[in-house]
This record gives sequence, structure tokens and C-alpha cells, in this order.
Amino acid sequence: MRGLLARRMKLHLLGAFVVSVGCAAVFKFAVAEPRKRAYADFYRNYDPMRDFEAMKEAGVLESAPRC
Amino acid sequence: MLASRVFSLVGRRSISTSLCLRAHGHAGVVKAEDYTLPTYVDRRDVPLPEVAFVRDLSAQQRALKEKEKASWSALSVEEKVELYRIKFNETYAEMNKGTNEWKTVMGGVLFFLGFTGLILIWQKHFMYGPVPHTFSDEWLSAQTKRMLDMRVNPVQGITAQWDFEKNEWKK
Repeated sequence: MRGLLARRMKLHLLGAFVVSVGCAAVFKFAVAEPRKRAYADFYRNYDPMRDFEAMKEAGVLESAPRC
Repeated sequence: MLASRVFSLVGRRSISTSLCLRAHGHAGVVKAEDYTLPTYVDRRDVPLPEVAFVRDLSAQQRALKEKEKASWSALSVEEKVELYRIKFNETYAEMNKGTNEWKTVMGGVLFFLGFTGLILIWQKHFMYGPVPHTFSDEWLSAQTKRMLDMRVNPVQGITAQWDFEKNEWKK
């Protein structure tokens, strides 16, 4: 019956550490890294003028009408 | 300070409580009420409660208590268990035993969720009017087309899922 709190605290301290570091790692590699890669890929060969012309053709720009 | 002045004004006689009145008749000792005495509890964090579980021992139990004062190796297993049961109500195992209450709780929760669902179905069928015209298929497709034309969320969102060459959703 001795050291009940000490044992429980050790176990839970270790568990809390593992769980929080694990959550951070999972988030980093499942969310943050793919997002950074997606943005890098998008902007690598991005031509804003091409997009502008496409949007103008579609007619969504009020200050740059088709006529 | 003011209270002591009131004391001298009113006189000690009328301040006596009922307990004090009783004490005057019983050699000046007030009987301790049950709730003021130490109690027995079955709690995980209180391994040795202040009093034993059985307060008034039968003759048999009193004899056993006398036997306990001698060498313990002379006690049989049943006697040791009897001594334990005199001192404690439940063992730790009995105290910590789980119940099946969670099944009742889960059942109740799901039942009432289902009942709420029935209410919602009734409401949609009998109470609510039609949805706005902006939810029709034609309006939604025109809305989506406009979002794609404006290049909404081009990196990871809706425009990223559209194939502009083939004019269809990406596989």
C-alpha cells in the first residue's frame, strides 16, 4: 500500500508526456507538413496574370468587365 | 462587547439551552449525540476507519475478541475472517467493485436521443415550410460555378478539387 501516489504520478506523468508529444507529432506530420507542401507546390509555377485573365473571362470581376 | 452587556442585562437563567437543562439532571455530563461520534466509512482512501464496523458485539463475538488477545496462530481461518468482518464492513475488492449502472445510463441517453429524433422528423414533416429557393439544384450549381470562377480556396480547398482543362471534378 506504500507509495500509491508516487507510483500513480510516475505512470501518469510518463503517459501525459507521451500523449502530448505524440499528438504534436501526429499534427505536425499529418497536417502541418502536407499544408506547407501544398502551398509550395501551388506557388512554384503560379502565374497571377493567367488567373486574372481567366477570372476576367468568367465575368466575376466588377471593375474589369469583359467588354 | 455588546453581547456581554446583553448577557448581564437579561440574566444567565434564560440563556440555558435544552441540553444544559438536561445536564443539570444527569450529574452534569451531556449524552453525546450519534452524529458527534466518530463514524465508520468504507472508503478507498481511509484504510483504517476510526471505529470498528460492529459496535455492539454479541456474546460469541466478545468471546472471540478475548481469544484475539492471545496468540493469533491459535485462531482458525473462520475466526480470523469473523474478526475481520467485526472490524470492517466491505473488503477492498467489494468496495471497488463496479456496477452495471453505465448500461442504464447509456440506454437512457440513447433512448431519449431517439425520441428527440422522432420529434425532429415530425417537425420537418408537419411543421416546417419549404426551404429557401437558394437551395435548389440549379441555384447550387450556379453558385458553385461562380465560386470556381472566382478561384475560391485554390490551394487546398474547392478550386483545388476542380480540373479546369477537363471541366470536371478531379478524381
